[in-house]
Amino acid sequence: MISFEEFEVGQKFKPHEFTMTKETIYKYAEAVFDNNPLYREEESGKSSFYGSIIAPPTSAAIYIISAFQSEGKIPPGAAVHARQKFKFIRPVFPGDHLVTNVTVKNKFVKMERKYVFFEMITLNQNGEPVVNSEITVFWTQ
Amino acid sequence: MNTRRPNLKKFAEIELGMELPEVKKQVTQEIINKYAHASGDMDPQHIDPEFAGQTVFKGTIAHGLLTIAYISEMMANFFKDGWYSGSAMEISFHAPVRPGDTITASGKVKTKKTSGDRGIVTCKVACTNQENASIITGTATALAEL
Repeated sequence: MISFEEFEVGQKFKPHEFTMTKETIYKYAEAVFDNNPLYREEESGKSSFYGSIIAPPTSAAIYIISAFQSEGKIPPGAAVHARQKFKFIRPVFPGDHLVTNVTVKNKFVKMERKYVFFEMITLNQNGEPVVNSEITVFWTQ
Repeated sequence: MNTRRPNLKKFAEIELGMELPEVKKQVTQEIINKYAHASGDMDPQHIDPEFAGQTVFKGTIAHGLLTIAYISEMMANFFKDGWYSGSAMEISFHAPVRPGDTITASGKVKTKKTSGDRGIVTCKVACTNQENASIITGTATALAEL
């Protein structure tokens, strides 16, 4: 298990790979009760600008959190969300193979609380940026 | 991608201070569990009452990114294709969401500007619970058609 003290600024996690599928998109949209047909209905997707169903932008949570946990050393309950930034650069389509790189950008103590700031950059199978994300977590341990 | 035009909100029809239609959802432990399975984030602070009872929150809490999804739904409802790419959000978390809470996502147009052939609209966004306590605040930026 990794502790706050062990994080190093500039530290990079092992790149995390993830393939988005229709099933993953559907399951995510179901879980957040989002009935947007662009995420769920083939016909709506086909007749849209995108020509296909797409993943909800915030389904980035699926692969960025997996990337965050990919080191397999985050203790349960240790990381509580404090801030989150997203740039949704390109839509994600079913079948897209995504690679997310996680870098520790900063760590600090404020009001006796420990915080770690991570940057996450996700690229698709063409090497194009899909989502850039920054996440600051309050480290409880 | 095909040659169709994106379905964008008209920039001229968006006024500063305009309020976005709210999204309101009740969060239950069942929903949190479902989200844990869908997102792959199975941290016990969300799904194990016994473990969560020993944490600083003294009980299970929803995933922060579940609440963000409600903001995204509100933005997509209003901005359509202007939300799915070329967009951004910046959120601060103030309080946890607990099972049984009813969350309201709201937004108000804060700034409008143009860049090339697109309008860029930034909204102040927030989620509150049934007691009107602030859960998250931030901004979300989408594209609009000039």
